[in-house]
Amino acid sequence: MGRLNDITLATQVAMFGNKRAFDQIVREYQSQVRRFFLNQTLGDEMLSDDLAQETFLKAYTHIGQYRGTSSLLTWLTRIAYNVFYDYRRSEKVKMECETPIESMAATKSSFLTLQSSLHQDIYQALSLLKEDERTCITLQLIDGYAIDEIADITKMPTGTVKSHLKRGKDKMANYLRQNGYDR
Amino acid sequence: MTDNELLQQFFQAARQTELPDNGFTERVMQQLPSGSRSSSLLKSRLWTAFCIVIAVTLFVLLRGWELIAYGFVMMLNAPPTNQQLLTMLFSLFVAGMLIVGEVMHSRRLLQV
Repeated sequence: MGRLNDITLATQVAMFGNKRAFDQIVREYQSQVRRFFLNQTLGDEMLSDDLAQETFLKAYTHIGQYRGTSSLLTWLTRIAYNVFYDYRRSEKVKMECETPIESMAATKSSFLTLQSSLHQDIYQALSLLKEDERTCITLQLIDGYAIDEIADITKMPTGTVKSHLKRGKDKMANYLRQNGYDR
Repeated sequence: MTDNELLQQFFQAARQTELPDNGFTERVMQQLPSGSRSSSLLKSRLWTAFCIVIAVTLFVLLRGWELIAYGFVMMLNAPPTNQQLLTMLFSLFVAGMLIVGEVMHSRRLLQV
């Protein structure tokens, strides 16, 4: 969807409360937003859908704040990141006592949407990374964002994003080589 | 194979994954907060009505039509300077923007 179409749809929602336009936005971008959460939660489909739903509800109530300077998808990803950040913060105490997010991939395999072993491998590999590293790595290598866009989405300084990417890539490459993915 | 090529290859399948909707959009649309939206619009409408009442009352109490007539007479007697003309154009622009905003606001109310 082009930037002009993004702005047109967002304006229709903001000015006239046009729900059909918002329906079109959700249909267009649900896959990318849900995939973002699947990558962050290491494949927890139920949690990802809940967080994605929250993201779109926030987007609806704050659509007037979309200025069209970035694509609607980037704006939605920024909201998604904030939703995940808030979730992570609220769950932090609970997660310290219970199963850490890094082991979710193993314990919640029944919720995995992407049943292929390759996707399970991806979540397994991503579980090696710290959360910020995982966010930067998935935003760049799966969602295709540039470093300045990742900095804009996460509100991290560009240097911090670069460090997370460097460390994350080193860890991932080592893991992949150790497990024979380079053959 | 470089690290970058290895990572690109590993994530290729994830990049191409398109998740089917499976009723997700409908669930989101059902959850949209229609109530709070119309209550905020109602507050906005009440505020607009209040402002209009105040403006009309002040216009009548301060004999606004005399001020307008006086302005016209002054303009006819002495043509405005460039600065006055700019001020007038700016005032007209602001008034125009307010009217456009009000029309759009009314259209939004009709939508809800």
